[in-house]
Amino acid sequence: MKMKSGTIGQVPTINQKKSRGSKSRFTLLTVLMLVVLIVYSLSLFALFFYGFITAFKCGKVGTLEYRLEYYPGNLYGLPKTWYWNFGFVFKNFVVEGTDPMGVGAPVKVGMVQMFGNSILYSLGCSFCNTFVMCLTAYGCARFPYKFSKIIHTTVIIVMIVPIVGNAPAELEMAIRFGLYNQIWGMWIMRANFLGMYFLVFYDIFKSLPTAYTEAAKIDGAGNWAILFRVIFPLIANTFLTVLLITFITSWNDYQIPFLYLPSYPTVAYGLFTVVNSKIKGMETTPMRLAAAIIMLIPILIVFLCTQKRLLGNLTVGGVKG
Amino acid sequence: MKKMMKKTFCGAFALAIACGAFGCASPNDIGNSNTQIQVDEKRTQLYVFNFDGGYGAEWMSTAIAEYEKLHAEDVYEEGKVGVQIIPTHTKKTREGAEILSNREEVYFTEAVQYYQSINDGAFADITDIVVKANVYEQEKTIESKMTQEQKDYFGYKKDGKTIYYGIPHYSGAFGLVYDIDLFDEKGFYFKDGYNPSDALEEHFIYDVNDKKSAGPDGVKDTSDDGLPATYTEFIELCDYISSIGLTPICWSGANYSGYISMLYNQLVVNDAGLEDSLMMYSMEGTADKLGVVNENGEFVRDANPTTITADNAYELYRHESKYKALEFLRKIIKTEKYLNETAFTNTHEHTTAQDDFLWSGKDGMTKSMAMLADGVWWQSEANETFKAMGTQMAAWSKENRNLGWMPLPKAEQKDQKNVYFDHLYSMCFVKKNIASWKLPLAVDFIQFVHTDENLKMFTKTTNTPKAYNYEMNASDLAELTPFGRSVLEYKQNADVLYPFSSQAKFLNNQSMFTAGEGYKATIDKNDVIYPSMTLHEKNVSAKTYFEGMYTYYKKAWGTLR
Amino acid sequence: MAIRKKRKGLQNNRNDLIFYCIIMAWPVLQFAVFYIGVNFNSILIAFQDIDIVTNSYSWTAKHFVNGFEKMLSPTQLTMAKNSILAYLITICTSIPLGLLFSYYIYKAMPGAGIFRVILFMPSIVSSIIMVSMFRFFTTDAFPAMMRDFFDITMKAPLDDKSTRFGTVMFYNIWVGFGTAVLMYSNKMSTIDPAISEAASIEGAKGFSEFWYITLPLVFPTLSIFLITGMAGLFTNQINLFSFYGVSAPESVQTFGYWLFREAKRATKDGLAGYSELSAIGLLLTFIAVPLTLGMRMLIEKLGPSED
Repeated sequence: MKMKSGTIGQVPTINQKKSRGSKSRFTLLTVLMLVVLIVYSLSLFALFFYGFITAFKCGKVGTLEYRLEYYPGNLYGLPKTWYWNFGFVFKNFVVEGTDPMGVGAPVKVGMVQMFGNSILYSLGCSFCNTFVMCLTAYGCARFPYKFSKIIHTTVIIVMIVPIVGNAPAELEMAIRFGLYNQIWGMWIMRANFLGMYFLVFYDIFKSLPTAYTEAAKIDGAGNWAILFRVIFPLIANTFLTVLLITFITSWNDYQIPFLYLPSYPTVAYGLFTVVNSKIKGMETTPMRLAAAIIMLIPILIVFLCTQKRLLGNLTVGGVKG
Repeated sequence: MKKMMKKTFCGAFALAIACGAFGCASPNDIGNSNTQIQVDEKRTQLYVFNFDGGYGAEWMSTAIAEYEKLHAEDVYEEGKVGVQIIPTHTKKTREGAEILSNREEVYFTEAVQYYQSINDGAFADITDIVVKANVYEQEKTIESKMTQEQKDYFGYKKDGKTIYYGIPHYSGAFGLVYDIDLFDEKGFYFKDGYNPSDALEEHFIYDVNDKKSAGPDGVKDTSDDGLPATYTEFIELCDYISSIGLTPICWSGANYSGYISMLYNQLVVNDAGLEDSLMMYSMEGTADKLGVVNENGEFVRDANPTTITADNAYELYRHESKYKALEFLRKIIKTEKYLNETAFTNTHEHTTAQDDFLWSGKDGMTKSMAMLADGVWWQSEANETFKAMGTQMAAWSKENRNLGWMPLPKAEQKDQKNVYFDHLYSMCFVKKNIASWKLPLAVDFIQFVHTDENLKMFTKTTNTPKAYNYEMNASDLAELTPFGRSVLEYKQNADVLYPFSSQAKFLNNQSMFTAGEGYKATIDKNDVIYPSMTLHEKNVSAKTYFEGMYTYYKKAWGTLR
Repeated sequence: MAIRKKRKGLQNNRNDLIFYCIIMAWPVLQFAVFYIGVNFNSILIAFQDIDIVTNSYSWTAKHFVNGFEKMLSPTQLTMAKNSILAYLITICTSIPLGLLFSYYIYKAMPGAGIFRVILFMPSIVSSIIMVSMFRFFTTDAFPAMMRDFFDITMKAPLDDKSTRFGTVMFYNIWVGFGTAVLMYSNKMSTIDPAISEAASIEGAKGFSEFWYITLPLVFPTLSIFLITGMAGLFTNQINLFSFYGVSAPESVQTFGYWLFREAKRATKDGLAGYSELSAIGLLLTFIAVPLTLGMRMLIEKLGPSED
């Protein structure tokens, strides 16, 4: 269960909230909770730390160093000698994709291309998805036609009516429309308005005072000018946040590329292949974790640079039919 | 400030990784066998598929280089001189429509459902070059190097004619590799005429003056002297090895389900012998070793033999060898001291198991492991370890390390040849929709690869046999590793079993008979695939699994085409 | 003048309508094809008997019969059991733990700010990375540590049949904990401080404030957990694909995992394999829809009102 959201609300910062802190802060329960939270945080760090140090142990199967530095000599301790496995990983982290034309030899996709595929896939999908949701929500919230109500209800129904096992049909449809095995095809498939962020945008548009648009209309602005010059700047912050969240989700997703993009493996899909199959020279844990660290770094940077935005802008609300 | 620091650190770290990754690839990286080859417009191209599993790509590269050189001046299409062979080395096999839609024209691959693919129209007719004299060697045909059984299987019968759509490729078997030096050093050989009631250590030779037992073949002064001949002896050997603190057997935890099911398969056929084993595929004959297991776990043979036909061949799942091998395998799987610690660990890959086996007792940390469960092809996969070990000590190199292919024990001592079970369904063929002008070139290349000289080149490169009859003289054998020689010797003295026949029920349902997945069972109403996995994970007796196999196949037989 | 105004109003209305139609055209078309079309296609495929050789098909109901039989087989029943267990374990642990600790964050107790950032980490790191690190740690390092520090010889928890499902579920809860805490605490932070203060004046503090004020206000979020969890009963993979790839042991498989894996396999086998899968999917949908709607009705009936 990953980031889900519903009704919009601005989250007060911690400083703002401090005023609410109860006077009797240190009860036995809170101390206990603090301890649990510290242990939990440490467990998370421990795992990352484990991944990090293991990625720096010798990962070349066959060598004596591998046996001394990783298996069976040193499975959990700090590296005795720090090895730079990343160069090897970059060279040998090669995933076999099918030929895009379907006739040639399997294509060998290296890390640079996988990163390229990831960026194209994630940026395109997140932008198409966010833009279409935002636009549809705008239409529904600001134009009180009956159809708007239908769309709004549809989103809620789709969210709570579980449809199981339609992946084959979706695949077949993608093949039929020529979208299968095309990154742009994925953009089109993701350009829909379904999902919780529709409701986020919907609530924002609903809560925006009409005064802005009325004023713009009086000044002679058309609907397009209002949309792009008045509305978008007002909701740019939320738009960027949703874009960021959908970008991270797409970047991390390996299952859709696994099913739909056999010729264009992304980094996430590549990592899935590395940890679950026997790519020559990459079968050892240090090499596999070095590949994982390479994939982790960009997303960590994005997170650390944008954590305030990610943590502060959206909240989860209820689904009211 | 803190934020700036954080961002700077992250940026610097990412940059360092990126730079390092791009720029500092270490010099002895493992090369990728599939380097992109530029099409040479001045030559004619032939696209070849090579399944790049344990046998690797080196043999193919050698053959290509020689063929291209030999035909450098020949003209196949207007305006072009010479031939360029572009190989695709991959670990992914292809079937039916995939063969037709890809660019590769000649295939050297495995796991082929031959008759299914013929029905799918995937293969071109190559009968001429199989039955007529090979243009690269006088008077010999490819067909003449095949056994009758192979001819029956590969020779597709239609309207009274025999058509070859494919021919055999390599010859793979699964079993046990053993460290001969360790066996010699520790005396892991049974003493000739030992008394079974003596203490365990008295069963084994103590010094050079002790004579070894006759071994599995029952003949003295052969290479298998002193090796365990029966399941009981093998268990004793394992007990003996573990009693002195060493590990008897090592296998890959990540692959054990498939691998050890293949070992089970090899145990079954080795005990049952060629004739009974072939019945599973030909579905004809008389089975006199069928029976049931009584409450005490003893196998009780049927009073009367059963005539096997295509309708009741599932009865062969009541074969005594299948039960005895199950009992034996269960004992090994369930006895922790017999196995490496990681025998069931999902991160322990086959290359790590090979590494463990080879380095054991030599890395200053671990104790020796006596045997490795793997296929005859394993040495090519362990190249990196051999290389690294060879630089430490010349005696540890691939060429010098004294390793052998162990004849598997049987349920009881019997005068019966060992069986070499060639289970990979590997094949060479040309795809049906190759351009008609190119077909002669494709089959010419196949002929070239199948000369005695090139069959030997394959064996010398991979240290494994091809699935043909060809002579390796003393100087040829000298070029093999000790292990390669051991495999060849074993195969030469064994009955070779090709798991196929021309029986329609087999041909139409070939996937049901693979070595790794050919022993399914119904246990507690659940269908299970691997005996190895089931025996390890469930508290299932050999009797339960044995009866479960019969239940499964009896039911499944009704659904076969 | 009045007529001109009216005309301008009409003109505006028409412009609005045109604009509306333009911006809604794509979403509606996309929805028609990739939601309605796909699901309709799924129903059609479930009734088709496809011949891969001739690429033709005939209509049949056999996939439903086969699918139904399959669903009652022991293997599928194990999947059903695992799917339900996964849901129950998740709600029984995530909800109380999530609520409890989100209250800690909401009340800005010591370290709340930093904990918010840390708890968010598992949400942004790809499951394949988290699972890989977890898997290698529990398989390679953990048994070695137990051996060296406590002299305990053990199998890796993911390899031991008796601990496998528990380990996978532990991972899911461990990783889901942070997300759950953040969701609830974010929702709590939208509670008007005035309500909390008013409650405090009236003597509601600590637990009673949590029970009577905070809990009803975060109930919508809680209901989302319950409803989406139920809706995902047959699609939840509990990260099995990241743990085991295509070869998860039967004893841990859920329907979500199995359906995804089979869909991938079917792409290799051609369209023929899709039919039975679609039929099973439809059969599971018939079970999941009433369950989910029932859960929603139950929540609406029993749950407190946010107002």
